[in-house]
Amino acid sequence: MDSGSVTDISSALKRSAGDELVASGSDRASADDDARLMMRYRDGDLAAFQLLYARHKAPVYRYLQRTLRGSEAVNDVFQEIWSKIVASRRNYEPKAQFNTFLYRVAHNCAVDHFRRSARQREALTQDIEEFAEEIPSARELPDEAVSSAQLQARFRRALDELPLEQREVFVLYEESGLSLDDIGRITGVPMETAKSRLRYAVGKLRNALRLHQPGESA
Amino acid sequence: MSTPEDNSVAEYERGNSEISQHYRELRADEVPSAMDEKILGQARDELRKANRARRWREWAPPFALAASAVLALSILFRSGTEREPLIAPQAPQPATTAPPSSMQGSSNQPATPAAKEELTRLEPRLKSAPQSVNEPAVHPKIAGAAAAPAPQQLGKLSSPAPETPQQLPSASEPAAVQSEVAEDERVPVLTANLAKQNGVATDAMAQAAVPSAPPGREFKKAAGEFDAAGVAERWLQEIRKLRADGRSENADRKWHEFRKAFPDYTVSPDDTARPKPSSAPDDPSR
Repeated sequence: MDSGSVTDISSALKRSAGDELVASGSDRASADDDARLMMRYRDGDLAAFQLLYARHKAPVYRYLQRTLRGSEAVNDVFQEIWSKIVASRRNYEPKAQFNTFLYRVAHNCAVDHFRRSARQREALTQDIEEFAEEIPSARELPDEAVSSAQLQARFRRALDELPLEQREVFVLYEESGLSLDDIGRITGVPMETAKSRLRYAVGKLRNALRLHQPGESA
Repeated sequence: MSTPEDNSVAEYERGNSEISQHYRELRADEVPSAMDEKILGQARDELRKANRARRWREWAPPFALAASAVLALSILFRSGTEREPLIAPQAPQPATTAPPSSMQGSSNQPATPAAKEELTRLEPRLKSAPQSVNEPAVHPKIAGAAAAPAPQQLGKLSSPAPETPQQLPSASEPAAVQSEVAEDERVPVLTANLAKQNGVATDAMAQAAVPSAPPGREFKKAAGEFDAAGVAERWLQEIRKLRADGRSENADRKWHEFRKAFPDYTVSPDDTARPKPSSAPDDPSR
């Protein structure tokens, strides 16, 4: 499948139920709308920014949660991202989709954070251990619930264990609704590389789920 | 031929995959409301800052223009109020005969026809001297003096002036007189003294005599002319004294010097300062 079809298909399906994203007619219209909102904010309309923020805050926050895995750092980087968006209003020109602009800023801030933090690996291990503790014990839940919770835990662990590059592409693909081409631009790699990373990530996650299925688990 | 892995990726990319569903079911924290407030507040502050800057840019040119206008008006107003007291002392100008420079034969002589013209020009102004607070009133004596056709009566006006050597320069030292009169600080004081001697004291004179008042060029000129009448009379006094003492030669010499300095100054035909007809014929009409 080429990148264009990936974009078309994914664009219709990238809206999660809890998002404040406005269900516009199409992604292109939404992107145009976002750019227009940003232009309105540039011209002094605070309500436009409030709407823009309400649309994108949850996906960006989840992107950071999945990528950084540290609530303290997530909050700091989240604020840094939006500060940069606010500061860039004077020079903002709608040359690309607002989403691309927003997630490029988010990616750069995340990279800066990784550079600042030397304890990334430690945090990863700690997070996984903490998450494992959160899984309800089998004694407290019925079999079906146990199975579902364990499946979620396994999925989460598999996601966290993905290499950062693959995980970021996967999360960006899920959260931003952008094409692989755009994701490649955001992360600074060619589209093919981004696509390859996504395939690896999807394959590993699928394996993790398959292992959990009855008869396939070790 | 596609592999099972390719199929699974294609299925995922269609968005209907199990992986996407599991991902969406993952628990995720909400953005803290405090964070929302912080970011929205930041956005608001940024707009306020920009609005302030824009408002300043909009108002800066008119504000600068208004400030310049106020400055220009205040300068004009100030220069106007400073000129008022300088013009007022011109009131006694008709009572003067010659500026100190005339004693050295300078061409700029108020006691010459030019001075007469100036006097004629000032006459109506003196008659209608303003009585308002801003413009000092002219004493009736001064006004009367100004109204008179000056050159012929100048001598009478200034004749009763008693002098003291400390107050006025010697008539035999015209250069010294000139230098002293030229001094900014001395001019108002001399003028005030002369006015007192003449029994004339006006508000304008009092104002001019205040040492702190900055003497302007016009004021200096007026004061110098007024002072010259006193000097001439002082000169004549000295000549009279010389004649009374029998020093006719000196008296004649001084008389010639006096005439050089004050060619138009009216001296009474029977004035004892005049040389005797045999020694120095003088035009009795002068």
